[in-house]
Amino acid sequence: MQNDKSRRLIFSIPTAEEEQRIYKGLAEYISEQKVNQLLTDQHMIIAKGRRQEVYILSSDLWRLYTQIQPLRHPYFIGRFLGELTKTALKPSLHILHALGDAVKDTVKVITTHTGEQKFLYGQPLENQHLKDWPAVLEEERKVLVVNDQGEALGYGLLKSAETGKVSIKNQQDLGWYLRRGH
Amino acid sequence: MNNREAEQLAKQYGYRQYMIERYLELFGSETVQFLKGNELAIPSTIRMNTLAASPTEVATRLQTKGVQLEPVDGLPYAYRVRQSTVSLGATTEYLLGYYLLQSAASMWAVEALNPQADQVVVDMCAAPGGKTTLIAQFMENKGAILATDISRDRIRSLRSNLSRMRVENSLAIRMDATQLPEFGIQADAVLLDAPCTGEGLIPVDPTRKQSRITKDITILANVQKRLILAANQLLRENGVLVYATCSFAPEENEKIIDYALQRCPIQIVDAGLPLGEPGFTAPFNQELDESLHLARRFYPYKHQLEGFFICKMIKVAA
Repeated sequence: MQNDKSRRLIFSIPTAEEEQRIYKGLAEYISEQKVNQLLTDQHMIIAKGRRQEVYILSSDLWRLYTQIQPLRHPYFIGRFLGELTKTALKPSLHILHALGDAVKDTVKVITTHTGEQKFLYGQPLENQHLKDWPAVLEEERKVLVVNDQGEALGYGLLKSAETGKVSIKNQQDLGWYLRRGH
Repeated sequence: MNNREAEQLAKQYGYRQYMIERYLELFGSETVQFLKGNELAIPSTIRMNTLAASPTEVATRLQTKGVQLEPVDGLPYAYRVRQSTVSLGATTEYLLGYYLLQSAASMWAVEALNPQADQVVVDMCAAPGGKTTLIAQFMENKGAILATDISRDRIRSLRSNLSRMRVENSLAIRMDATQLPEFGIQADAVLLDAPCTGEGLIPVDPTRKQSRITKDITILANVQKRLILAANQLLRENGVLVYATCSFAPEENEKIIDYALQRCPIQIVDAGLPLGEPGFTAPFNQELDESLHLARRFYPYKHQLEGFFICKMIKVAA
C-alpha cells in the first residue's frame, strides 16, 4: 500500500493452480455445483503480502477496483473468500453464511443452545453440546458448525472420533468479531 | 451577551464558558432547555440488517431474549431499545450480522443520501462503518461503494463491520479522503460525515463539555473545507452530496456549506427528512446563503437524538 509501508501487497489474478486450491478449500464444505454458483460472474483477486487473501468482486466493483488499484491498494474489497494456504483455501467468516446455507450433510455439525454459546466463546464441543453430526466420522475432518436454527457459527475440526465420542476443535467462530474484530 | 449568566450556566452544567456563550447567542431563551436536553439519556437504537434477515423476525427473536423494542418512526429498519436484559453487542444475532447498534441520527444522513442499487457511492470518512453498511443495505449489495478512512485502527473496525454485516459491494482504503479525486471517479453520490468537535455527542459522552477549545473548531473547519471541496470533485453532474457532522457549531456546518456554495457548482436541496430544525442562515450575525434553511439540525432536547447536522446538495452544470 503506497501510504502504508507495513502492508506491502501485490494484487494478482489467481493462476490455474491457485484457483484449484481455492476450489478445493470451498468444496470441503459445499458441493462443486454450489462452488460454481458462488463464483459465477465474479472476478477473483489475490492480495499477496504476509498472507494471501482471496477476494471476489462483482463487475461493478471490479470497474472501481481497476480505477483505484494502480494508484492505491485496497484494504478490503468485495467478498473476502479466505486465506490461501499451501494446500487449500481457508474460508473466511465473511462467507460463512454462504457456506452454511449450502453445507454438505457430511460436514455439518449441529449444536445445542449450550453448544452454540460455548462455540461462540471459542471453546471446543463434545457430544453433550451437539444435536447432530455426520454419520461417518473422520479424524481431522473439517466441519461447519451450525446452531439448531441452521445458522452457521464457525469452522471446526473433528478431533477424536472414537466410537460414541465426538470432539470438535474450534477453528474460527463468529465470536471473533467481539474478541478480535474491533 | 450576559457573561455572568454564561459563567453561572457553565458552572452549573459543567461546560467550558466559551461554549455557553456561543449557545446563548445561537439559542437565546432556549439555551437552558438545550442544556437540560444534553443531560438526558438518549435511547439506544439498533438497525436491522435487511441483507441478512427480516427485521420483524430478528425483533421477535430479540424480544424473546428480554429485549424490549419499539419501531422508530420513518426508519422501517430501526428500533429503539426500551429495555434489555442482555448485552446487545454480544448476542448470537449480533454476531450473525442481523443488526448493528447505531444512532438514529446517522441513519437519517443515509436516508438523505438515498443511495440506489447499481450506483457508485463514496463514503469519505467511513469507519467504523455504520453508515457504509446502511448504504450497502439501501443498494441491496449491488453497485459499488468506495469507503475510506485515514485511521489505521478505525479501518480495522470498518473491515470487521463490513464482514459481519455481509456487505459485498465495498472497496475500503486507508487514506486521506482529500486525496480521493486523484482516482478520477465520477460518483453518483457522496457521503461526507466529516470529522468534527463532536459537541452533539455530549449526551452520550459528557467529557466533551470540557475536551475542546475554540481553536479545535477552527482547525476542524479547515479540514472540513478541504474535504467538501474534494467531495465536489468526486461527484458527477446531478450527483448527490450529503454533508453531516455531530457538531452544533455553525463554523463546522452552515459556514462550511456556504464556503462550498461559493466555490463549487452545487445547490442545496430539501433532504425530505420528516424531522429536524432548519439550518442557520445568519449565525453570530453573519449572513449566509439563504438556502441553508433547507439543511437540518437535530437537537437532543427536541428530537431525542444526538446533536447532528445534515445538508443535502446536488451538483449542477458548472
